[in-house]
Amino acid sequence: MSFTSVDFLFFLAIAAFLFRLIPARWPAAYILVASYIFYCASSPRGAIAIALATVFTFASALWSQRLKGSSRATLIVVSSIVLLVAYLMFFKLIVFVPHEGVTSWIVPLGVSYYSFKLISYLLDVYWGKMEAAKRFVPFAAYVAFFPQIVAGPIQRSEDFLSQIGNAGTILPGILRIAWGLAKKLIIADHLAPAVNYVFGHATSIHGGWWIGFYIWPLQLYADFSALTDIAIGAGRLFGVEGPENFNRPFTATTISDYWRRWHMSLTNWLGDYVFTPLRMATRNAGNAGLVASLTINMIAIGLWHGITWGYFLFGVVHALFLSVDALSQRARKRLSKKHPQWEPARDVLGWLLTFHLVCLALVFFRASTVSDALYLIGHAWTHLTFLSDVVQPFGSNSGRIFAIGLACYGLLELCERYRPDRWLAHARVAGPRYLRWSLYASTVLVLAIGFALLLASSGGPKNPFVYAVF
Amino acid sequence: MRFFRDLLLAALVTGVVLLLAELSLVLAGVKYQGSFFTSEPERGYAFRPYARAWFEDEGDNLVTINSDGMDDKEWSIARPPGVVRIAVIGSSEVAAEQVQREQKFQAVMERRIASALNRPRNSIEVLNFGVGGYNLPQEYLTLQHQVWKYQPQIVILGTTSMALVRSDRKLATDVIPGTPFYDCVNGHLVAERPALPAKNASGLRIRNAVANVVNRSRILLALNEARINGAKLLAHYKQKLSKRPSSAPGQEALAMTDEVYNPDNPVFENAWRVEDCFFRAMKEECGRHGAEFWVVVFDREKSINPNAEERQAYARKVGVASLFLTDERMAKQAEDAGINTLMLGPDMLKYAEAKQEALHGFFNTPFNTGHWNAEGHKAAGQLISAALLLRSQVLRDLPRTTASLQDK
Repeated sequence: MSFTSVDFLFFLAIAAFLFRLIPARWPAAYILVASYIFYCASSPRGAIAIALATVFTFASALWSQRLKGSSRATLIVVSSIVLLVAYLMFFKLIVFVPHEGVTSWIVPLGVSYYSFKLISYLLDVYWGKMEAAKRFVPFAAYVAFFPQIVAGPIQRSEDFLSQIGNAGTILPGILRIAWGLAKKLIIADHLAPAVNYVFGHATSIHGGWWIGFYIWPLQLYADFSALTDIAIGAGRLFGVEGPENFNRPFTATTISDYWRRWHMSLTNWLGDYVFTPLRMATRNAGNAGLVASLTINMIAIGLWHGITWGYFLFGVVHALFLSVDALSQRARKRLSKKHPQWEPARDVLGWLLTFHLVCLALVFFRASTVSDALYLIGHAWTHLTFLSDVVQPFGSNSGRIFAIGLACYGLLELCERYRPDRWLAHARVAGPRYLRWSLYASTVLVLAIGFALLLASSGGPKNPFVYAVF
Repeated sequence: MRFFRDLLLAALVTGVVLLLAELSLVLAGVKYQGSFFTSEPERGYAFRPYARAWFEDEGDNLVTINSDGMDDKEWSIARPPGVVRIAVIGSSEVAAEQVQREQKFQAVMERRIASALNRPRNSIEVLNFGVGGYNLPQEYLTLQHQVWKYQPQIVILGTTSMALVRSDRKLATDVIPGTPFYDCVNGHLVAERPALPAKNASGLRIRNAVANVVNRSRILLALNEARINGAKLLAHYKQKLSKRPSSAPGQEALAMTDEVYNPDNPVFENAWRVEDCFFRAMKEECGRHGAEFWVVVFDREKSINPNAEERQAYARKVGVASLFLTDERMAKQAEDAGINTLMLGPDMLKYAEAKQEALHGFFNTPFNTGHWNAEGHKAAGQLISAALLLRSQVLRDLPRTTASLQDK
């Protein structure tokens, strides 16, 4: 059930409506049942797998807490984490088993996301950051919470469990979902055909590699952030505010700044549970320890997406960038102090350099093979042919579709910079009566048209979310 | 007073938002299929005169219906002197809403025949009377009630094996209310129902006007498409909930579109009889008006797939040795009735194989499905022209200005 499908929207609407009718003490049970219905709709076997992993983690956490402070508690936690990592790796590696049909049913939906949730929960309990959950149902609801199961954001258990029982917020939820759908359907899906074409024919086309280099990151951002928007909006309908995943990542002026803005829930998770412990362990090794910690952390980020050379190199390349960034930080600060007048130029150059480095690394992420990635990077600035020459082969209307996607991406950046939603929210509360009425009527109208467009396009081709496969 | 002022202002602002939304959809090129049809007492439905709408289901084409309800340009009613008129009746294959007029096989025929006879292009007029979804009764009624005023010398019935399915009430699916059906009793056509009484004229006018407005608004078109898809979705859920298996486990049920590739399938027994009756009735009708009658059996999408493996796999699936068996029987049936006949399939396949190009399918549909694309029309236009130039008495009787037609 894709988040852009009418099936999902119907399911969500019915689930959210019934959520408002259930007694106040049942929200966790209700969310659990709804989440498993959602899960079973895509994979009943996957539902069994997630249920087993949930029961195992719940019991391990309780057991380790009972033995707190003893070496047996450490043993339980370490072995549980090893098992959970093995569980995740098993599903990541099963795709390489050359057996037709195996992967289609065996890889559980959102396994990368809920495995990380379970691991962090075990560690938080072990480190004493939180008490082990006493009640199974809210904990199971946290693990399987359907708006976040497909592609996160990875919410911490403490944050989630403290919100269980809150009343759903309808309008903010719907508006966030609508914003996500618009990003996906208007921007990402309009950029996707050109990007797919370039990556699908990387070594046989005669120009247009720049689309793969520069436009793919924009498509990915629109696509992935749309998924997060829909997840956060859907969560709001059930009284759960999920963590933000993005903060205008392409405005970053350094690579470390970029990683503070991109897929924040994953980078924070890895920061807390991989990088920080590693850095603590290697703090006596100086810069070498720092580089080693960064490298392991970034390779973990890469391989979290899947066990391929492309993802591995994506991690390695980012580790290299981050290491240079970290090791040159002091020198850059000194230079900045010495020449404060260079700051604006430094910011622009920093932004340009960061954007190009991000684009370069993402080519490895997207290309089918490493040689395709290297070929595309090597040709990105050659044969900068007119757009229509490049996009013509995949449809008569493709140039226009691409232009719409690109123009709307520009609008997206402007909206994220100037936040018209805040202005509208203020006007909805404090504006004159006619303005408030206009806003309500226009909101209903635009949502109705948006829904009609979604329903009208439901018979057309589908572009799955990029991050829904992890 | 303040209340009404605020209400008016709010309505104005909302109206501006609506206009902006419409403008955005226009600029973004968002289009949905419009409506070209109106109800009609004799044939159940017909193209709505002057309707203008996008055809988006296959390809992307702006369809303009002329004042007489044809997907064609405006034609003078009386045949101009010195002009050869060819009327083509048929279903969606003939209407060909998917492509622009200049790409349709009718336009290809005009160009090819005029050029072969060394005559000006406008001396050959091929009129398109095709209407999407029509069955043989509707095509016959079109011939009787609409075609003759244009005084064509040649009438072509462009048909496919699907006419068998559509013309038999027991086999036809998704039948639009009012669609006529005939039985063949002792070689004579007997209507199953009298023509429907004409609908309230002013009510129909309003409905047509509303349809024209919808065709001009992207938002309304989207709402209409959403309504159609919503109904389909509900039907889908309904079927899912009823848990009725669509076929036996492990066995994929064949649809009527597949079954029809097998001419000996007993379910078509009545349909063959009805078809034969219509062929003969149309021939008689043309004879009464002094026009030459042709039956052109169009190919079906799967039978001219240039990929031999896929073609053979499909033939195995439907259980036939050749995908042209039904076409051959249709052509034989027409020939036995003394009708000029042309079967396009085998030559279309040769064309597709030579070019290694699918002649059915568009950029927004899978290839080798649906209707002819522009290349398919080009091939069909060339083949029909060549056959007419060789075998049509009307064309043979025209004064020759160039070398013998046999050389063409």
